[in-house]
Amino acid sequence: MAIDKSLQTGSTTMLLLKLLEDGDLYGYQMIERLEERSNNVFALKAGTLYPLLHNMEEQGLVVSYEQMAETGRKHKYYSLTKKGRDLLAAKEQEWQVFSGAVNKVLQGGSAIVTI
Amino acid sequence: MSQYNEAKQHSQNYIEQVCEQVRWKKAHPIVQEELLAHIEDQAEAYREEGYEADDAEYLAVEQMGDPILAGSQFDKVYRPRVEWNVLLLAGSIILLGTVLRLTLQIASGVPVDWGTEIIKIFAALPFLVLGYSLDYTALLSGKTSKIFVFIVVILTILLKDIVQIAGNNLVNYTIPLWVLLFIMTVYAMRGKETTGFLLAFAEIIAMLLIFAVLYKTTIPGILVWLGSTFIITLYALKKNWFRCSKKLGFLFAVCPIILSGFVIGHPHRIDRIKYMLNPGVDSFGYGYVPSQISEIMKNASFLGSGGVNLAYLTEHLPNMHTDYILTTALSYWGWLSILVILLSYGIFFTLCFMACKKVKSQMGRFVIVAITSCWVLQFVSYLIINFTTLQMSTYPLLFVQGGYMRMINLFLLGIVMSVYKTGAVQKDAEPKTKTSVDSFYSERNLAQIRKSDQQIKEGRVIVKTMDELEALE
Repeated sequence: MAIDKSLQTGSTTMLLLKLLEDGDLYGYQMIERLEERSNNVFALKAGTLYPLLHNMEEQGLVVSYEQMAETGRKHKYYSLTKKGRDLLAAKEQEWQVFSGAVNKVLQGGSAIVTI
Repeated sequence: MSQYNEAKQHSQNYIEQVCEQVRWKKAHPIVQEELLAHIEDQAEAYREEGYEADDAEYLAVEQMGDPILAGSQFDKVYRPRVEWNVLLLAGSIILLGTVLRLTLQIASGVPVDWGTEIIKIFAALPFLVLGYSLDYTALLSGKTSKIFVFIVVILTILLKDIVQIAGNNLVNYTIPLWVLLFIMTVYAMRGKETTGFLLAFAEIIAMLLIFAVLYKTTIPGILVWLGSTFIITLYALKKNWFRCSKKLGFLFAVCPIILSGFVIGHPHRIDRIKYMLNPGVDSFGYGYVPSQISEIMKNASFLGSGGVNLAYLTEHLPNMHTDYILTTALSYWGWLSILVILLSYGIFFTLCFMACKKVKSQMGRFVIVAITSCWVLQFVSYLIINFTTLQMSTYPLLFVQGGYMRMINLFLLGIVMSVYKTGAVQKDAEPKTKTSVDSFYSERNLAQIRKSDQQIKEGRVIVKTMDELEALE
């Protein structure tokens, strides 16, 4: 089902940082991987991805470099900086707290007994 | 095949539509490159799934989404950047510095023409705008760079003759511009092996001789020339710009400095060292000013007027309001004021160097390092004559004094701001050089690699070595 945009935009940065945690990627790879890992729920468009990456680079969360692939094509890879890693950890924790609280409320609080 | 070309045209149209939304033209190349690479990746994925080349291309473009929306996202993010820290601090130094300088003048009973002072500051502003709009990239190649070289040479020759009329050696003022010319040489030589390095080295020596011997430039001028070119050469060697042995390079870089000892060390200047060490030797002649400085330093206090006051200075120190502003400040306000002044300039220079990190272009960083070095050395020459017994002619106090030099320095500030402006989007052009990496990826090898990829996919051939690859041809 289509997810409300306002729910998505805030967490996209965190998701991209997470994708880069395991290794450097270039733009197209990030979109593919995001689709895979989210079971096609997150279908990020290139027009959203690249401005976002540029912003993240301005903020010092990632750095970019160009590399020649085996096919002879040049790709612009992105790499997490220390600042990026720290922000990722913080955002992950924030998300745990937030989503945990939302889940609790949606479960109705039937487990809580008041005397 | 023409269907494929139509598909390619479709991609091109998409990219153009996106770029139309991006108001800053300098960002267009980087946007085009990113989008094109992405479309090709997507198209390749579709081809692997079995789609025809032209269908894959069309689908890839459709996948990109609405070009107007994408374009407006890019537009928000790709904007020319102004490095406000640097600009505002420079502005504060100019304004506050001028106010303090004029306050000292008034306090020592010398009338101040505020109108003229304000006009002088405003007269320098167009040079800031000129440097900013010229954009350092224009200096690197093309018509503008040739015009710039021409102007600098003509200006230097003109000023050489005016030197005979005015009191100061105005050729000194053009030296920072020659440092920019040196950078243009270094840029042109990048990627070239030892030849490039030797050419740059020859330029340093040649200009050193021209300045010192022909134009009789004073020591601060030589200091700025040698100091800045030395720093640039070291930086270029470190970044492997010249691709020659680093030890050799370092050795060559130090030579001009040693040579300068011979060139500028003639009796008159060597005498200055004598008076520096012992001003009392000729306390009414050449030792006069050094002994005054010595006296002032001994009697200064931390806060407020020390043992030597403004009246004493007015009587004993020549040119106190042009050449000895800091010494005067020391006598009037004490060491605290000097600390504040040193801190302000220090922070300014540090900010300039640190903002380099945000600049992607190696060339841009060079320009910033070179210009900031010129400023630091100008400032240092002023500090030397204000606080030590080594006396010589000097550059005016950076940004705060000296109408003409301020114009040149503000032009340089404009250039620095233009580097920060394009910092995130400007890439260096690839140097035309034959290296083993470049030749490996030559067209022929690329074609071979693609062909072998295709054959491997079809399960036909397993290639183990480059020789086998070549045998496929």
